[in-house]
Parts: sequence; C-alpha cells; structure tokens
Amino acid sequence: MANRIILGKNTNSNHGHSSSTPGFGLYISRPGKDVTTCTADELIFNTDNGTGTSLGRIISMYQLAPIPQAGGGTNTTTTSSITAGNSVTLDISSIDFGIDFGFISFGLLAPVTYGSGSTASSYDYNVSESLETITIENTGATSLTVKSYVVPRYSNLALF
Amino acid sequence: MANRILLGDIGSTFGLKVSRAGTDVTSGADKDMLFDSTKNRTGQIYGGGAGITFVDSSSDQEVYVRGSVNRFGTAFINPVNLTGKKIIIDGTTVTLSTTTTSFGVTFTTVDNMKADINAASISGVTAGTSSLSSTDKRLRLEKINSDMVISYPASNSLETFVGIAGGTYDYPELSTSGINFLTGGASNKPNLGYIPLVLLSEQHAGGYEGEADEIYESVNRLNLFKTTSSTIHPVAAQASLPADQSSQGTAVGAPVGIGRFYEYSDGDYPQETEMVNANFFVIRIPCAYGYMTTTYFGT
Repeated sequence: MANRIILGKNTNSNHGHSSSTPGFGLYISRPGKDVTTCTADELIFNTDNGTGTSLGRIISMYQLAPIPQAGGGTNTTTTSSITAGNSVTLDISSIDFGIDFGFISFGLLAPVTYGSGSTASSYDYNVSESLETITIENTGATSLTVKSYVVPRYSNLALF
Repeated sequence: MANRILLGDIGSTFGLKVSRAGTDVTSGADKDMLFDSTKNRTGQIYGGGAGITFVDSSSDQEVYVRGSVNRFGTAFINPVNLTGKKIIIDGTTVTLSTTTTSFGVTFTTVDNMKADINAASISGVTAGTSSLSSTDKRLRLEKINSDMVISYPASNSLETFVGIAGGTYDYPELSTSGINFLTGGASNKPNLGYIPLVLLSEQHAGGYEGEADEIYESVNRLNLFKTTSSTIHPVAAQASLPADQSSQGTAVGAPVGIGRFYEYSDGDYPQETEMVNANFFVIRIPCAYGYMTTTYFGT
C-alpha cells in the first residue's frame, strides 16, 4: 500500500522541497500514489501554495461560509428575489471568518428561459468590505432571482 | 460532539477524512465529508484574485467606480443635506460642504459632491456624474495610472449615500493580455499542465441588450470569461459569420471574442459590461476538452 499522508516534514523534490529545505505541513496523495515520491498534481491536499517557496501561506479548500438568512439562521447559500430597478442587501457582518481578510462573494443568476421578445435580466453585484455587505441591484427591466454564496478570503493580495 | 476527523485506518484503506459539523466521520455519508482522501481530486484552491478589472483598450486604462445610489438633483425628491459627510480617497479625507438651495430647501446634489472631491485635488482622481436622467444621477470616481483606495471614517460616513463601497479598486488590466494567475501573485506557481476549473464572479452580470448603428443586440449572459492553463480573459459573445461567407459555406465564426466590446448608445453608461471587480478562484481540477479523462482524474 502506498504512503498516503505526510504530516510534518516533506522532502519530496517534486513538491519543491528537499532535505536541506524541507516543507512542513499536511500532504495527502491520491489513492495508489506514494506521497513521498508523487508529483505535485498527484497531491489531493497540500498546505503549500503549490510552489514549495511560499510556505507561510496555507492553500485552502474551496469551502462555503454561512450567510444569515431572512427569518433567522444561516445557510451556505441565499436566494434574493429583486424587482426591476430595486436592490437587496445581504449583511454578512455577523459572520466571523476567523482571519481578518473578510470574504469573497459570488452571485449567480437563477436560470432564465428566454424567448422571442424577452428582456434580458441583468444585475450589479457590489460588495462593501467596510460594511461587510453585498448589495445586488437589478439593472434590468424584469424581476430576477440571484443566488449568492461567500468564501472566506485567506489573503489580502489582489492575486494569491 | 460528533467525531469529525479520521486519520490513519479509515476502513478498507488508510487516509484522512473530515466530516461536516454534526456528522460522525466514522458513519457519515460521502456527501457529508468536507475532505475524503479516497477521492482522486478535491476542490483545492490553487490561486485566485479579488477586485480585478479589465478594459479592452490601453486608452481606457483607468480606475472607474460608479455609485449604486440614485440621487435626485431636485428639491422635490428625497433632498438630503450631506454637509459634513466624509469619504477618504487615497488617504485624503474629503468633507462635503457644497450644497444647493432650491425652493427654500438646502440639499446636496451629486454635482455638489463632485465639486468638493475635485477641489481636494487628489492625484490622478477625478469625480464625475453618471446621469440616469436629467435629475437622477450617481457619483462616479475615476483615477489614472494606479489603484484607487476608498474608505470611510467611522462617523459621518458618506458610503451609504453614494453606494460606493470602501476598498481597493484595481487599475485595469488589458483584456487582450488577460491576467496570469500563475505569475501575477507574490510567488510563481508551476503550470498544472491542464486548463483548471476557474470560478469567477464579477460586478456586472446577467444579460445585455444594446443598440448601435441600427443593429440590435441581445445576449443572455454577458459575464463570460475564457481560461487557459495560466490566464483568464473577459470575452464577449459574437455571432458574426466569417468575413468571406461564400467560401466558408455554412461555417460560423468564433462563438466569443476576447474582451467586452458590446456597444452602447447611451454615452453616460459606457462601462457597464466590462469585467469590473472580478473575484475568482483557480481550483486544482481540470476543466477543458481533452483533459477531463482518466489521465487527470484517475489514479
């Protein structure tokens, strides 16, 4: 059976490490692949940043954060119905993301069936870092539904 | 409290499982696992970006942000005196003081805000107005050469009155160049050898309808983007036939073109379709024709 997990010191050169400059963290290889010799792409979990040169940053799993729901409670997505020309605001300020980089938000238009003469649905999706809110403005001429979710941000860099 | 982590012997093999809160990792279903090492790939973030903006021409490379709050320049529709409200642009605090008086009512118009901000002479920054109608306007801020940082003080904040969020507004990238998510950050990342799954959200989304030069154009989804193994580019749908249709038979042109070149007849609203404030994650999962095979998804 292949070695699957390194928890601690990693000297695998395929991951950008060596005996003299080891990496430290949690590394898990694909089933059947030896974590001590496999390539970087054959790791299914890797706390490096993919380079072996930036060990201070932890690459994270794509994981959704809770969003307060109308009426109470939280869920990982929320649905907003917005009439033409109006806006709704989602307040995320009550959520503790653990680190101070806030969140990155995503808005997706619910499926719309278009036909001849249909008016396109459109919206502006604005995030206020200071207010910790998401404002969705319906910029079209018909009502629409937008689903939102947020992902904790783990870097304050524009590109990370 | 439920058992959440299983490390080592996880049943028929060795590995790591982590369950979602409230689910016992020793008995939970696959769908309740946050991480499961028996799967060949996971949604691990390889890189990404936040607040990225693109334009199609170098002549348009300027920061552009438009408020989301309508302000009516009349004494008869929601007049508000915003004297003393503040906005901080690139570290310079602007305190509103200019007002308009009409029919005995003193209030602040977008043009008043524009005058106060421009009077502060912040390097590279110009305030303007975006007209929705003759009386209904929004504040617009533009900056050349570099990012623009907007914030607000804890008290007397102007933010909710103009709808311009605090944050760093990115100096635009060129659509043709795209942005390189491997080399653009603080450290280089090796090419994965495939086009990865990119999840992207941008400010302007949904459909687009426009008319220019007697051509009506309707696109159901304007927020399209193209990925390569190292870059992302905003793209626009296009249904053009090849230039020489007679020799191409029934062939059609490329479905999309690099950039956002939808045309508008409304000159006050020129950048509504460009990729603004884009946030994206690069996920270490192949997502391209020819790569979604056992070579990449198998063991």
